[in-house]
Amino acid sequence: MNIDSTSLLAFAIILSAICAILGQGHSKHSTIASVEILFVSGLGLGALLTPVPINRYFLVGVLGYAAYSLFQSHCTGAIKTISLAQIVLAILLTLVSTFTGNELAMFAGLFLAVTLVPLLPFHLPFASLVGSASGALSGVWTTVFLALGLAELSQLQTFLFEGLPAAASLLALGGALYCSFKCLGQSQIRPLLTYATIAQVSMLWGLTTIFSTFSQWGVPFGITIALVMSGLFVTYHCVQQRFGTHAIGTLPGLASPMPRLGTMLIILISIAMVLPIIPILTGLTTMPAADHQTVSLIVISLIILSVWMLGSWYFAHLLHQTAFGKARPDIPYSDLKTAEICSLALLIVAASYSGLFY
Amino acid sequence: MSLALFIPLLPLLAAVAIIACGKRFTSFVPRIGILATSSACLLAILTLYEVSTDEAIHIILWPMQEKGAALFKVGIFVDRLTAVMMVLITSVSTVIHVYSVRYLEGDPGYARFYALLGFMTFVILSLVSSPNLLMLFVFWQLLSWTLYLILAFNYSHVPAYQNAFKTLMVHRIGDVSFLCGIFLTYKYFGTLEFGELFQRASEHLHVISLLPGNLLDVSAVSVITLLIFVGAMAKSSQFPLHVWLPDTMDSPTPVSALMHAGIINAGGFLLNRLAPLYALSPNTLHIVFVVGAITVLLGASMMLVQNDIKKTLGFSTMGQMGYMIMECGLGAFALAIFHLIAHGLFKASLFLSAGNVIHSARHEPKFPASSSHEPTRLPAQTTWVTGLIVTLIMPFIILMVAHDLLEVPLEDAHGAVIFLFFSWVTASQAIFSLYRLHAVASWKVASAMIAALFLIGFTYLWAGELFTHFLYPEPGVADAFFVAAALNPTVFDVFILGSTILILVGWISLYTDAKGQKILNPDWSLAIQQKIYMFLINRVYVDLIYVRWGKVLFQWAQKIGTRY
Repeated sequence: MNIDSTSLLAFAIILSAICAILGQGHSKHSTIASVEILFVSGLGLGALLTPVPINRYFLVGVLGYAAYSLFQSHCTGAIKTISLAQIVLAILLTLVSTFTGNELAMFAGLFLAVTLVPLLPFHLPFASLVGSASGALSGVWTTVFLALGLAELSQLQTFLFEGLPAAASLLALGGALYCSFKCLGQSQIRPLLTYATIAQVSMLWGLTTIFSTFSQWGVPFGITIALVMSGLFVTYHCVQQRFGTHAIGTLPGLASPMPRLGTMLIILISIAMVLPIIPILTGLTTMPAADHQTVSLIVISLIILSVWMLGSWYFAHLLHQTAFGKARPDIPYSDLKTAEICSLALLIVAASYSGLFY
Repeated sequence: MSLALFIPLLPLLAAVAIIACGKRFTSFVPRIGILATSSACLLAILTLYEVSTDEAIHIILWPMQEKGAALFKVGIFVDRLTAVMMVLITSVSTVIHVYSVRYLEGDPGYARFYALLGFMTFVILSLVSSPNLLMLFVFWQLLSWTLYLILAFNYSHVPAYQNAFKTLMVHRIGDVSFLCGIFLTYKYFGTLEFGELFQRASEHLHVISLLPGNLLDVSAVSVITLLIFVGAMAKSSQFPLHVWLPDTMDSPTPVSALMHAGIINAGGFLLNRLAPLYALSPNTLHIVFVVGAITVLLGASMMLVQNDIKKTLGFSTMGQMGYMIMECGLGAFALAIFHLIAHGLFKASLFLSAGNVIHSARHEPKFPASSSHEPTRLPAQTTWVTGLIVTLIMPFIILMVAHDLLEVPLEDAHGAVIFLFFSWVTASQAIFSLYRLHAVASWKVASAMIAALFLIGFTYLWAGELFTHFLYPEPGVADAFFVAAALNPTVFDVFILGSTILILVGWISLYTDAKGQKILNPDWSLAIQQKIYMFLINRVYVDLIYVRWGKVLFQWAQKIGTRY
């Protein structure tokens, strides 16, 4: 992976951490949350920027802390058990592959990639962790996981393009449809955003099977997804911090009494709804006009169309149930503060740069 | 650097300026918008003159790579078609900017509205000046999204954003199909630039096997044009993707005017831009014609049963768009643009007037007298004479003029005959409508109507021919479109004969009904008429079907969301 991609990934983690801290606001838990954000980001940066084999230890640190957070969370049942087991397996594979040959390293890399850049059915750790994280930490976990996963994918691009196209694309299609439907039926904001992230990321998996130049388009596109979804997590964290609610529809009409929040929401959701179009533009510009199998093109078309179509539905539904509608007269609304606006604006600018100009 | 570049840029700069400073300097907001659009209009007129006397303007702003792999180029392409559209868009936008100054004065979203208006103008102008299919699609998307935001302008009003959402989702269906068409275009022809695409499509015949073993082979051009046409159907409110248009009346009147005069023409423009590609697929053109014809019939019929002025105009637009698409399906692409311009201008003025009428009616203290208390008046002799002149004599005169003076090749061009035929149908419909209002009871009204219809008919015919030669000056190009769209002779004859019989039966039925003899209108037919009325007032139940499908899908999603 070239230096530019690493810098972009590291920059994304730093930006996400800064914006999450700025968007934390002031509460009794904000100090602890800020420390947690810095810790996770630091581990992530270590995994990206330090040389081999130290970066693997940092990666183990990220996964270990993820397992710890998941263990402490309110998640229960089989999903929690499976998620923890998958994370532990990823840790073991990472450690073992550090000391053994290339074959196991490749397998470990693939397993890490499907865990960190969630691909159905390996999406559970990501979904559980991000869905249960407190405050603005969800956005940071999203960015750290995707950044580390994109780094792994960049090293595997040749293997993916030549060795695993059909399986990855079919799993991606399944993931896109399943997660999109799951988002449509959600009544809570955080799970909706979590599964929306997984649905968007499935496009990335689908496109890896067609466009071999992953590091040129895949990394910027993945970062765009991460930053946009982080922005949405931070925005809704601001709402939850003020009014204590995560449920969709309980607090409509926010755009009228809180115009700054309304504007940020509309911009972020607009970008999220346009995300499926971005890889078409960037992929077509960097990809040579090669002949591809019809099946691959059909599958990726179905992925993009389902994510785009259903994404428009649930994102618009989210906007209607939160920003639009009549504001309640009994609630003391307070708009976004300067620090919160700056954090969201930075994320929007960075996402636009990464998606359109980089 | 051509002046044409500034035409879309000026409204965009105005939108950015309004967003940045609009709240602090509210009084300057409309001035910025009006200045930008009126300047863009002047530049559009100058550009129209330039491309009429010189060649088309083609500027590439962002080549990405100079050779080979660069599939996405950002630039501007202004030919006669684009220039004409730019003049229309900027002039209508300027009028709407001026109208909105007082209409929305005092509204808390005043600056936001003008910013959206400016941005919308920029998006439409960029769409019509796109040099390739991908850039056109990008602005097509932006248009869907901007329309959603502007329709949801009153976002605290629940029906407003619900209808905006309906509009967005219907447009998404069209956009999905459009994108599939682009995928296939790139796959089979390796280019999305218009000129290269038309050339490669005419040189290479690609076939798609829809079933294994080459059991069902179709031309790639047919599939591509059909998929792209679905995109045009959604934007131009064609059946069955028409459901969004009538429900957009909750938006401010200037928005309705812009939509019905500008945005809804995007589908017709798309077909015109890809006319050489459509000319390679007669089957698609026939499907386009059928869809347009169904939309005309349904739109006009649903218009007749409305009791709300804005909804009446909405369905009228649907009918007119059906007519425009039908014209494309008959190969008369240039006439479709002419129709689009004429319709855009008069519909915008109707909507802006409707706003004033509604406003006045709300302040009117007296209720109008109920029509059920009025004595029933039989049609006067004037009515029958007017109907005879308009529906029988006038078309005959127009046919003679078309054939002898303008030399329209009626024997070869089915399209021209069908146009004239539908002109006759439209004139008959006008008579039916006026018959309902008992308006054609004086010779003054009748004479004015006949004179107006003759003037419109001849102007349409003459201007249509002139416009066709203006848009397609190369000899044989426009005729080739007509030939490509020619219907099977038997189908054509059955169509014309069947429609003629229907209209004549309608007239005879009215005449005998007026004389108290219900020969062709027995009592049992009243029940059928009532059923048809209910069918139309419920918008042929298409809305209900979509709502039901949406609910089923939502229920599945909720099950997946909670159980899995």
